Amino acid sequence: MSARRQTRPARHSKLLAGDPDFAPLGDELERLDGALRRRVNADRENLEKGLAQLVLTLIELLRQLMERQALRRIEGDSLTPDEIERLGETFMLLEERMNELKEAFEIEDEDLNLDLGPLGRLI
Amino acid sequence: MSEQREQMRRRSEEAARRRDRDRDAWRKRNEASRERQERGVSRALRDRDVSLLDLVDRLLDGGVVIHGDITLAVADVDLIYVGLRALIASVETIERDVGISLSASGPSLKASAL
Amino acid sequence: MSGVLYVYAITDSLAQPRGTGLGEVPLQRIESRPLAGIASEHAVPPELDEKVLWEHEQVVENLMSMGAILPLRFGSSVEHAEALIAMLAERREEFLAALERVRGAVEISVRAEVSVDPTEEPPPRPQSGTAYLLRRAEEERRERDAAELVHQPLAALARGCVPPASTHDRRQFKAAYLVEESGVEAFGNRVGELNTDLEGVRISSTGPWPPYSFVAGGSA
Repeated sequence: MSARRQTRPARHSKLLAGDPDFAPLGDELERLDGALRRRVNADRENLEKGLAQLVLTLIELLRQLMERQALRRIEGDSLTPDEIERLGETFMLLEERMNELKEAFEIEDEDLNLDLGPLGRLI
Repeated sequence: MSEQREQMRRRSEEAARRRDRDRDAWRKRNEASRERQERGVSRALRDRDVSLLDLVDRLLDGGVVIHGDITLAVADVDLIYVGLRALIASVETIERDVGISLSASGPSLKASAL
Repeated sequence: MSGVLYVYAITDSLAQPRGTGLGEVPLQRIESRPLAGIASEHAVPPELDEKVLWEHEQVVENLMSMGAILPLRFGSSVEHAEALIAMLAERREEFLAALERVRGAVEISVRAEVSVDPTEEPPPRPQSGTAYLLRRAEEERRERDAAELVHQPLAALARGCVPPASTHDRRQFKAAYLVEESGVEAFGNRVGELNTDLEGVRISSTGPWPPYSFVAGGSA
């Protein structure tokens, strides 16, 4: 993993200021790596797991988007207490389902890693 | 009567299992985060990393998009990559520009549909 | 079958482009007064890899010396110059306005991370849907506040910005700022200051970049 990074040419830095030592950066970068190098690995199992991860990432994205918009509506006072309760229960259930799915596919929270085998990695 | 008790017992067991699962997941997440922060990848590498990420954000998601007699100068495989990035970017744009966009009749999330 | 015209940028400058295109192929101006497209001819479209991305970036950065330019998305190509000329004519007003917006300015990207505070126990499971949403609202508020502490002082130094949007990784902040060329150093200094001053927040910035994120609309 770190061996791959060291093959990068030395001059490509556009750092202006600050400290780029972020934890999440590592994951984003690993996901990018595959897309920029053709991956010839046509492993079927890899592909299936990759597709599951792709779907889960999109679901997670939508879930958070919906949750955030619901929160905005609550702030805007346009929902009844009953509606808020039902919404909340739904989101709780959604979150629980997502955790179960992640567990089933052995995906870590931060590592929603979209490896589609021969298609490379996405995002 | 005993059926009710049985149900209550099952529920509290389930709740305990969920608490344990929560605690494990929480611990794992924190450990992973701490690990990465201590991973001691040199600063030079991080510089190049963030530069590359920002480069790709710009070149593949930004810039003027020309239509019409256009062929994207990348292989088919990479089109999917580019497409998905555009999807993620457009979701961000929707959030930012449109704000609340749930339908007028209200959100209709059915718990049973999950 | 002939090759493709690979297009890098749109400009209203009359100057000759500096440098060469990908693979050291000569650059050409494709006129559609008052605009022009800067392109190079290739038999085969370039493959997508890290090396060619940096090469493309170098070509575009060289073009910045012409004056105001609108960088195109990587991979933009046309079969014939006529197609490009027609497009430039069709979207003339749009491009002229965009050039005005970015003239004399560059793009700076800013990323920030709010550190997770690792506590020993997870928060208690919410007892109801309402409690869950209240807790989520509180988390959102904290994130938004942290983001504002980074964004506001930087936006004050910029001509325009693409503000941070929350996506699936909540702890990550990503924004783009359109900054006067003369103000880049001060902007960088401010980033450094915020990185030091703000507790539990790590900030970094890259640039200057050509104004990729400000070619259409954008906000102040």
